[in-house]
Amino acid sequence: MNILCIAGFLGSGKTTVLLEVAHAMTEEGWRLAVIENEIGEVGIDGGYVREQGLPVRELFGGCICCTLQSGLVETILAVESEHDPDWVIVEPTGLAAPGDLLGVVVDHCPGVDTIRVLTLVDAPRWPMLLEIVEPLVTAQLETADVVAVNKIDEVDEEALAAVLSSVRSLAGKAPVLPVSAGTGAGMKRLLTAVI
Amino acid sequence: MAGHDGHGHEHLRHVPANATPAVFAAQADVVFEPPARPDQLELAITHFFAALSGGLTDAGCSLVGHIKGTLAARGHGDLAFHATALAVRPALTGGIAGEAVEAVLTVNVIVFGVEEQALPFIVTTAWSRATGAETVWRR
Repeated sequence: MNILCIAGFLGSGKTTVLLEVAHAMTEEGWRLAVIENEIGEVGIDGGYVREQGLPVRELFGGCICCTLQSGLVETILAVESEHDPDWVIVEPTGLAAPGDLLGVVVDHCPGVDTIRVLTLVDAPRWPMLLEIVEPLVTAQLETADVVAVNKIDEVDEEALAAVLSSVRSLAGKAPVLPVSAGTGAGMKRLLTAVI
Repeated sequence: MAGHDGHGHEHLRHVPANATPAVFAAQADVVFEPPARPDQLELAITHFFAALSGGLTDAGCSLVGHIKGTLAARGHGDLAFHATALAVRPALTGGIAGEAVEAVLTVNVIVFGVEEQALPFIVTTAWSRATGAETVWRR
């Protein structure tokens, strides 16, 4: 069983990209399960993903990178037992630092073969996010295996170049791919990089 | 309030102290009397966003994480809404077929720079003022 964590700040397009990735994985013949985490005690995204025909487990009222670590482990083990998936796609809250959950999964989920982290960046809001919540958004990049700079259709060329330069300087060796989940631009390359 | 965040915000070690997110996530039972047409429901959501933007701005909102939700009418579909900024038209997807009388509103708001204790009042007041619909927030 493999895990793909789709991280990124609130509103960066995680659920939209998740559905694209899930569709591509399903076409490859893989069995999937999805774990949705929301900070509030009432979720939105889980129901939407479930409507697309995917098995979904939801974790509410906290963050799987800190307050709900044990809940994440229990959920992964339950999903493994019930669905025997090839891939579990985990969508943490937009306030999560994915690095904090990697160690927990490695230590407590022996059935997990590989963990990959895809971090999304909200291109139009990147300068503002870097100004207001820099520690969080940089933490979301630090452990990424792949970074997707999303919503490129909402910025001009000059702004996109600045965002890509900034993100690449923070993303280490992870490939940084410009995409628009809304228009489909760059998505094929992203899916190839992720799966 | 059902969704009033109470998880301790341990994750905030990643976030500067002056940029603390406030979270409001809740559901409400809504009655539209007279029944609301699909275009009136879309207008209600737009008015809700406008009122909410005003309330959040007055409360010192410095950053919108997200404002999203659904208005679901049993057997008639649901209207989803989403925004990541104030004073914009929310993105609307889906829709409700026919006239709606009873619906369930689900709202998830995460914003920065606003006192957590103030957020439930801001959201619920914005909804009531914008729609005038009879609304019972679940506890």
